[in-house]
Amino acid sequence: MVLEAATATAQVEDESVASNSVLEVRNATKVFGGGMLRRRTTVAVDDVSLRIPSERPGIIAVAGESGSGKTTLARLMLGVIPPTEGAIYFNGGDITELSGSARREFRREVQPIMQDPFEVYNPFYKVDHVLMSPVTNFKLARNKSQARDLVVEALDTVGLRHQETLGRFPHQLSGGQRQRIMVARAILLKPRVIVADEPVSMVDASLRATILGSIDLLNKELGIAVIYITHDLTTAFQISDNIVVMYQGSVVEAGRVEDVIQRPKHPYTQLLVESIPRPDPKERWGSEMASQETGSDKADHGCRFAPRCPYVMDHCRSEMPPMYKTDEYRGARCYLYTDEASSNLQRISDVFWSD
Amino acid sequence: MTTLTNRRGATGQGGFQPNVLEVKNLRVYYDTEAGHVKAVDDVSFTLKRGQRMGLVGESGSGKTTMAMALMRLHKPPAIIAGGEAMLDGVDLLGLDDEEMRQTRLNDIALVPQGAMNSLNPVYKVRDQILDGIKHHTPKDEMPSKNALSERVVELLLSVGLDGSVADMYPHELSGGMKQRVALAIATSLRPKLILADEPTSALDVVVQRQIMQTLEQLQQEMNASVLLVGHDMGLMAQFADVLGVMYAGHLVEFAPIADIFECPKHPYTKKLINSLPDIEVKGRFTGIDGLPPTLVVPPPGCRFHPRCPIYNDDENFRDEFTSERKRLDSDLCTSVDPQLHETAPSQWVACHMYPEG
Repeated sequence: MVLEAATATAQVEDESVASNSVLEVRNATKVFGGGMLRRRTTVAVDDVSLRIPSERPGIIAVAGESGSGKTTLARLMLGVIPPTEGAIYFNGGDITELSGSARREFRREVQPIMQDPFEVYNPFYKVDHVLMSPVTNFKLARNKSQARDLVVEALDTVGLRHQETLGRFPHQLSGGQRQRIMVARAILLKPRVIVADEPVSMVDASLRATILGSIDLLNKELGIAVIYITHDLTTAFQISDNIVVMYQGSVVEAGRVEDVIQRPKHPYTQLLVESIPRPDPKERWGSEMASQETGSDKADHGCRFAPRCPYVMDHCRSEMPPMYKTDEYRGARCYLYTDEASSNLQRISDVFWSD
Repeated sequence: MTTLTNRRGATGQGGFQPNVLEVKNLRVYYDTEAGHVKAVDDVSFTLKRGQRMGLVGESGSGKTTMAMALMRLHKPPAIIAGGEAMLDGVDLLGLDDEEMRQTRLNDIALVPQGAMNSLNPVYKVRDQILDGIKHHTPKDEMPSKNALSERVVELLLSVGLDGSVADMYPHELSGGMKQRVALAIATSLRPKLILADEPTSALDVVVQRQIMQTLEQLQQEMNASVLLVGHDMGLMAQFADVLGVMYAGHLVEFAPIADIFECPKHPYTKKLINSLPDIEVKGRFTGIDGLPPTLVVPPPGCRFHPRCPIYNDDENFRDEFTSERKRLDSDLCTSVDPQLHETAPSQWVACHMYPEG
């Protein structure tokens, strides 16, 4: 196994306030349902805090299975839905209270890339529309020829030839091409943050690498921070610097991606990593059946993972464990690490590694 | 859960197993205005009893079309343009519709892509399982009501679900549980061959692993064969005994899974394996450049040559296939469509680097 030489550069995590973050999620909780007619409520996101520092834009993966709350978190960060409790701050301002130019700036600086690029396109418009409308809306170019140059340049950056893409309708392009056009669109706007929700889950494995490469480029060359939402730990490992693992709405483990994926600490992360189908027939899954979901494994109190956890203890079922700082660059929400933890972790981003 | 014993199954190196499925020169075309789209073009392979075969390829390579044609569930404009598909000596393509109906579920069953859409939302799980059994069992062999009821519970238990699930509706089940119900239906009449078309593509890794392990358990217990269609090489490495690789309607490589990963023979297979990300080395973004060709007028000669790293002398690929490429007459790549042939025992490949005979 080749491990990255952990150049443990002493990290100076300043006591930054929200104004030093591009985007900050502070104690956000989102509850769906409830009200007079639906009494059953679902806590989709449970007290999550996450910060994208303005000085060090990196790639943060948010990983979890369906129902973990990762997409809800993405929607909160994009300002599509408001949090039930807590707040999301953009450049220090609560995004639900932004008005006028600040709101416009937020819309431009925080861009989504969605799972199925086909749904973003209007089938009756040529793909040019998707690329030209942000140029017009945000007045990025002075005239038509300048606008076209910008578009061609952006397509070039993601490895698409404009002769083969402009002037075509969405159905004439492959899924991979459509997704790369969405990346090109993001480049045009030069946002500070991209929230990419499962951007490669609909494309072939052979094309995945190309698209992930483009997203990596956005970060490394243009300094755009990326929130990469995924259920695929392998691509998360490949592309991101730091990772947040979610289970039933709460963050169970977070930190530097090498630590979390190569040496997972939380029993749920361990189960996830063990279940990755390794592309090696000599290294097959263990023969024991992975812990089954029973349908009744929703926990109301305590650790959400307790009903499925092989190491469950009594107090796991009664009280939700805090995030323990287990290593320099990692935190885990599990009582197994009570003793070795140096402290409780207030903010997840405090264990994020950066070079 | 019980422990899986003998994970390599009945297909290990020793022991003779008869062929269950023999596909010969199968052609499935889409009849379109632009011409025949040769989605499956001259595909031949055999599958032994108890063997698990994987079939990979990009979208549009013809893998799903072939699986649907074997079930005779292909939809117009798809037509079977030729070939044979012998299941235990019976040509599936020669059966009339009624005979084929009796063959489905009894001898060959499908676990569909995304079970969430294959279950009827207004029927209880019990009725959906019974529906399959009743529809495909001759009247005079129909078990009693009590026996059927017991069978439903037995089937649910065999896929790791509680018997009480029988009285639930699909919307009350999670994605993984629905896929288990689909497994119970597919195995309800103990078929000889189970076709599974990306059965776990919509599920997360933990549930995926549970479903695949359940399928393997059922398959071993029944000594059935499985044809798993998908594009995830990792999943194939975990599950399959043999692997077929499709490219643009052709089967370009067919070999035991260990050989495929240890020494792939076709440059396309090699590229597929190289493009797999892992969790050991970071920052590798190697894809496969270019797009699959149109199947109305495929490229002349080898269909892969426009993207082939050997033919195009890709500089990142110069250290691969160093001895094989000496034998290559690259004029053939653009003029002659290479045929699938056996280059080493049970290793089949369609590439001019390996001359026939």
